[in-house]
Amino acid sequence: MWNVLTLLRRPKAAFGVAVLLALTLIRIYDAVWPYDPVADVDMARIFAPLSLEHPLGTDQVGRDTLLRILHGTEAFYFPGLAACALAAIGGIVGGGLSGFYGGVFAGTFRYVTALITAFPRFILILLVCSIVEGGMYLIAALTGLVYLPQVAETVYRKVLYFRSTEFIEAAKVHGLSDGRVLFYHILWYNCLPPILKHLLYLFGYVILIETSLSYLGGFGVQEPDPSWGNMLAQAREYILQGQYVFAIAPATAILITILGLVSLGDAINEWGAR
Amino acid sequence: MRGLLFTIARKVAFFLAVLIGVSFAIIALSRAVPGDAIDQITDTPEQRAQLEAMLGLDRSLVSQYLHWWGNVFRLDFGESWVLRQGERVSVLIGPAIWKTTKLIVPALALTFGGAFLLIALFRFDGLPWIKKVIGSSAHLLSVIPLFLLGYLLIMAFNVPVYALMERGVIGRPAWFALPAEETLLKYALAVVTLAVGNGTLSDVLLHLESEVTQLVRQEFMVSTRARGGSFWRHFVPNILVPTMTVFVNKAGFFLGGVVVVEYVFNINGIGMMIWSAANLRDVPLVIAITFLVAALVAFLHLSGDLLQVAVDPRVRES
Repeated sequence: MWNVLTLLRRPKAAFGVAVLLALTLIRIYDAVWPYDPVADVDMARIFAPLSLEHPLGTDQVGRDTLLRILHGTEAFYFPGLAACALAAIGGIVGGGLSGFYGGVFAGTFRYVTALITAFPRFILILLVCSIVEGGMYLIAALTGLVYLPQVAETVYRKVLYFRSTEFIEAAKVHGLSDGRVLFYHILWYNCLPPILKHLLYLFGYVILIETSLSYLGGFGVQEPDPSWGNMLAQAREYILQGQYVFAIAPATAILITILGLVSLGDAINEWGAR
Repeated sequence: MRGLLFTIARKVAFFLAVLIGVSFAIIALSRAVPGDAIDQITDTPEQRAQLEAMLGLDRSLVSQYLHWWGNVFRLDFGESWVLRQGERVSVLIGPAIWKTTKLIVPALALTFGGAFLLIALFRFDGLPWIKKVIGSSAHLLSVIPLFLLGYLLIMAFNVPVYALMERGVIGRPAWFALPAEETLLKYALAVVTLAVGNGTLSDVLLHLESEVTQLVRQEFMVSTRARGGSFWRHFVPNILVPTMTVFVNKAGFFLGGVVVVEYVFNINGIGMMIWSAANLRDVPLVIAITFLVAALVAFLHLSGDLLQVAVDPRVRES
């Protein structure tokens, strides 16, 4: 079926897989050796130069920048996965059933997705956050929700196309159940790459939203917990004093991670469409 | 003709239904959990009851909702609770809308103009290396989140100038460190950031490129060129609808991105206002802005659909 090795031969995909793997290993490392942002404060080593002990130096209260970067993945890793699960389940089930059966369900689902897409994503997240206290999982759930219509639309179009193809007609005549035809023969065999592309983009989008909110302050990750966004916001104060690494490190982390996820998504999509 | 009218009526009805659903979702959301917001601005239970009576929170949800719509028709969105306490929301958001328009319209023009220029370049024969470098760097730049791109642009201007200022080579320029005044440089950087970041440029570029490629390959386009007919006369009307679709789908991104860009560049527009209002739990202000923005997006979707009906005879009959 899906031959993963032919995918990994693409440089974009290999880069993306490496990024995902690195994120996962960092999460495991961080779970085994937890980082305590308060205990790490050491006023004796403010803005320490780069050394083996502090490969990326230290920040304005002497906390190790590398450790904070590694721990910063906590803010989006599991919330990101949760958002992907939400968008995947909602989008596949909603879009799939709409395309397969049509009728009242499809009409209602189209209305609900139209409601969601009418809100600019960032503004919907701000609206809910201003009313409900929730933290990162709420933000991630909202991000998954606002991304759901896009997944659903892709699935819907695909199912609509495949529904009337000969091999699906044949499968139906063979007496296969609707669920098996829809989820196995249409979605699993023929629609996986574009769905995966959307989910990888969504994971990148969760990082984007998390770092943006943390950078703006208020709703994102709060000090002393590190996030790549709030590290960059702190670095803003010290960049004119020549503390470049302090700013470059989180900026690079954000860029490489999002770029990795997006290019893996693109590579999977191209690989599936070949 | 009857089919056409029916199609238009159906689309308008869907738009109205979305408008009602959106407003109901916003009101229900803001009323379902009023505790957080009202507790923060009141101290005693009596104050709380008084405020609830004043805001009509003691009535039923449906009654509140109908009351709210009645006010909307009079362009009355109530008073700000916290951010500018007691001022009318409708008065507050007027100037902010103008500042945001000055940001969004040039950004849209830059994204779509830039995308079409790049597509023209990609379709031009020759210069394979330069095309590849420009194409990849456009996509690479576009991956950068808005706040980071804005930050990098600001630093690209401020860090070298600061170094020159320290050595006494030049004096402090008026735009240094982003003052609150509206300088041209600030607006220009904000427009570039909004037009490129958060994947906007690369997304628009990808969509438009595939639309242009499909259109140019169509048989009537090929035969038009073979007969020596005008390429543009057939190209422009046919690319208009797909462009409008991409534009409508992207409008929400621009309106959401404005929040980040205005914060980073210190511009007092709608985005900055909703961000401050959300932080201070200024619910009427947040509701008003969210509703207006969502209504605008829904309206753009409707116009996109209607344009499609006007241009494409196949849609009319469906």
